[in-house]
Amino acid sequence: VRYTAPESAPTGSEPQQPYTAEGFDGFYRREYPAVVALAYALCGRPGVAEELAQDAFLTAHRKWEEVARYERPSAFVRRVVINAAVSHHRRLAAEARAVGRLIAGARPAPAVLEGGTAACWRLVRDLPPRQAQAIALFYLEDRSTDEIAEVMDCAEATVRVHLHRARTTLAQRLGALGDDDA
Amino acid sequence: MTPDDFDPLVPGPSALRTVDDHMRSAAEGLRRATAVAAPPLGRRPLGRGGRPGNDHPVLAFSRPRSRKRLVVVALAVALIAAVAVAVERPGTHLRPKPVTPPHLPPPQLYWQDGVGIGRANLDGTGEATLINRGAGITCGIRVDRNYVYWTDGNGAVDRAKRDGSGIDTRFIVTSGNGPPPSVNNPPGTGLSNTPPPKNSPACLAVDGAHVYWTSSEAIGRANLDGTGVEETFIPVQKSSVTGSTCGLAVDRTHIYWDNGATGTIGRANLDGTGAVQDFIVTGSAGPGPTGGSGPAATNVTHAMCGLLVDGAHIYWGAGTVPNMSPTDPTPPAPGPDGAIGRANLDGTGVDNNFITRVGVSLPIPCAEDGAFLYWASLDFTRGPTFDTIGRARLDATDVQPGYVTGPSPTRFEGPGCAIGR
Repeated sequence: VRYTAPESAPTGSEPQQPYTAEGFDGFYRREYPAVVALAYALCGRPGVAEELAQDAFLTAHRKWEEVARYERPSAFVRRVVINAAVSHHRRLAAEARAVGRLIAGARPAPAVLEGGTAACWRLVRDLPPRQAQAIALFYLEDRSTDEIAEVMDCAEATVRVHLHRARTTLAQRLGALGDDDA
Repeated sequence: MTPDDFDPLVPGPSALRTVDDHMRSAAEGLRRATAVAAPPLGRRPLGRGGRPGNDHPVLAFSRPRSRKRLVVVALAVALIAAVAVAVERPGTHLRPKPVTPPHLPPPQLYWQDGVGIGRANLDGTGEATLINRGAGITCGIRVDRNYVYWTDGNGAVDRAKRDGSGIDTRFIVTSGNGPPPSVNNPPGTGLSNTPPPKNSPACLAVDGAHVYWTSSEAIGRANLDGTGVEETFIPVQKSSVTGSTCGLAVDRTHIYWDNGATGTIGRANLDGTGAVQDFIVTGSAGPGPTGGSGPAATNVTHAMCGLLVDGAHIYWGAGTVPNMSPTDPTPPAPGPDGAIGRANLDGTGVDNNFITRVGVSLPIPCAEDGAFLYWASLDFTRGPTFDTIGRARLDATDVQPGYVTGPSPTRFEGPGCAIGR
């Protein structure tokens, strides 16, 4: 319900006109890298991230006539991907397909994260799932708390609580990382 | 900063600013790594008879719904159906041999008798003497998946397979190993003229990795294969009744023992750390009176013996032992019925009278089968004897003081019992 407000003015980075069935391609090209990044942040594996992103866009494509009328189709596709990233069965299915593609010789397009970047996102994935989702949307996509609330389908206050707790936990763990490194 | 105060535009304390710096850097790294172009449109050509939707790049990672795929699926279904029919048809070579379920004997109750160790099914059938030698009269008998363990009262822990074969009377030998007691009677019950050696193992507990035992001064431990003997793994307080700790139990996280001298239950982590001697204070220790009248009410010693844990509670036996005269062989009058106490595993909810009407002055809980708790009955009516094994449901109902009654007073000769599943 929160997605569907076609009569209201679009906000954020969405185009001024609602997407149409013909506009899916543009939506797909523009959002794909960010959705892959979001999936990568939450699942930690580039191949699986691509599969999850593909699944999310496939869902959007199948419902495109409806999704195109949403105020923020990008929020829809992100909600699909963050839910898929924490769904055990959907993750397993995506991993199986990713392994199948690897066996077939296809390498994942995203580069494998290393060093501090990988360690940082590993800490995020160690957070409770909802906190990890909020952190990823906040830092990776620079989204406001009300936009994050829309993607996560919860109240903005809840998002603030998730972010507060997650940042506090990360502060402790990043401090521990610093101590270990020292 | 409280959640309500959180403003993503305000950096906040330095620690949170550090988080912001790290996360923004990590986000930039992730964005660079995933700055990939979406798979191009029209990469997958239309299959023969394929629908236009299959040409979309979103489906690039998905299989096209082509007629060829349908044929493959149909062939696979047909093959599976054919195999299923062949497997079900009698006489076919594809039919698997019937699988014989592993032989799982019913749960059985083990006890110490006058000769060795007896065993019977929980319904009373199948009674037999399993081991006819070597069992000392202590509270030490335990059963795991493969073996029966018992203390021989002579400084050793013995072991045999559950069918009674492969008896090893020197499975674990401690420094208490020496000549056997001159009279083989329960220690501390007035019948033992020569007590077991000082460090002789008394009570036993077994988990998936170790065998634990009590002695007069400490809890000992050895690996499940008999190696790595540590005789003073955890120091304990002597029992006022038996001379050594009279109850020992272990669960997945802790080891528990009773301190009979002080009426307390101790607890430690499985690695021996964090030992607390008064984890639970039962108050069941020291001389009478019992609150009744007559000699039996005053000439007794409060005692606790036996310890048992299940997934949620810890149980112990509490009651009285008549003070025996060293010169008068006449059995003293027994005290009133004892009780079985219970507390939560975190030490709260202490109830010294959880199971009452147990029919003896000192019940010694020794086994549970998930539904019932069993206790050896230390009876003083004819002098100290272990004539029966009682049981009650774990919610303290259906109390059956004489659930298993021996045909003779010598059938049960020790406070130890165990259930092998």
